Amino acid sequence: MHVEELEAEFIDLVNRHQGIIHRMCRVYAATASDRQDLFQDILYNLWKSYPAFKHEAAFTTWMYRIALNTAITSLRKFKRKPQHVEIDETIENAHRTSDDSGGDDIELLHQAIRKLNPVERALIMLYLEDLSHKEMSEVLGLTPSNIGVKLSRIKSKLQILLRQQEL
Amino acid sequence: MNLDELKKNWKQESAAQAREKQLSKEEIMQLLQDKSTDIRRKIRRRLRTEISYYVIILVLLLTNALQGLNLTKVLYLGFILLLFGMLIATLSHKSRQLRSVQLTGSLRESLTYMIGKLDSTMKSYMAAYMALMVSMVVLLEFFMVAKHSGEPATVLLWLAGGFITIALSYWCGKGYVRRILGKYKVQLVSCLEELQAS
Repeated sequence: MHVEELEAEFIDLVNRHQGIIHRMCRVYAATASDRQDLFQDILYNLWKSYPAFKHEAAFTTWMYRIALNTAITSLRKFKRKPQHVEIDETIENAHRTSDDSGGDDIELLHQAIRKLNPVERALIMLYLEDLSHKEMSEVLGLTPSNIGVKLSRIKSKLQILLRQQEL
Repeated sequence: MNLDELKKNWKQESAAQAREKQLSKEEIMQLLQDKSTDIRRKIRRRLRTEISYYVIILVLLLTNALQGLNLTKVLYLGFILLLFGMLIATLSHKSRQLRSVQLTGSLRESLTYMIGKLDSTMKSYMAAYMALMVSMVVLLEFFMVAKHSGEPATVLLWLAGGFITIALSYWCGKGYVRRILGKYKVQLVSCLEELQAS
């Protein structure tokens, strides 16, 4: 396949599924600028690895893998920067419309998710994305049964965090 | 708030946000080009910093030894510069390797791979650095011992100084490598342990 064709195919696929990258960035990066950086990192790693992508696996599973690997291995970069979490979040929330109650719930969910450790965040995100245990095991490298056990523990933890936030 | 209900909202909300942030093909290509330029710039900057540290060390250690140049000293300087070149090549190669790692496996495989890569980079940094420092000190000692061969106390002082310099270099090198890569490795190891915990 020519470089141009490869490029066109890649951009088309990324364009169709870029929501996955945006959601991953929101889970792993707290500020808008960090999210932008992470988006660029993920995109770059996807492009770098695309020539080796075998079409045997679903593109989305492959995308989840690379996006997650990039997010977790880039965490130190974001931890090193000064924290502007509150300010950025406030500005972002202020732009949201007040009748958007689903959006508020999701914002609270995001805040709770950010209190989990990176691996727990990965599991809960894949659960929210509706991946099967088999797909999760391909992304994480764990057995489906192990995923079941971990997930039920993390869901309970997240429910507690959500309840605490509601109070 | 029920998690199952939130799960339904998750994709709807996120899909709406993704539509808002949807990038065009041109923007995606621009981001890729910017990232690639940024990586090259960061590698060059890191190398420049490393080179400046070593130049300072070389100047400090060699100024005294190379006073009154002769053939032996020129050969010595050539050898040290060769080692210095090898050190810079190692740093450059390892930096590029670390930044071009392809993490296409599962999270567990990628973390294991990345930890291995960090380990090997740390060892290479240390080996190249120590090779340069030890060679420099040993050759410097050789000149000084030859110069002061009739003064055992001075010779002893130079030998002790050389030993201390090597020990200090090792200690500083370890600390430096730990500072630039060690903390990152610890973070990845803790993620891997968390992932593997039952």
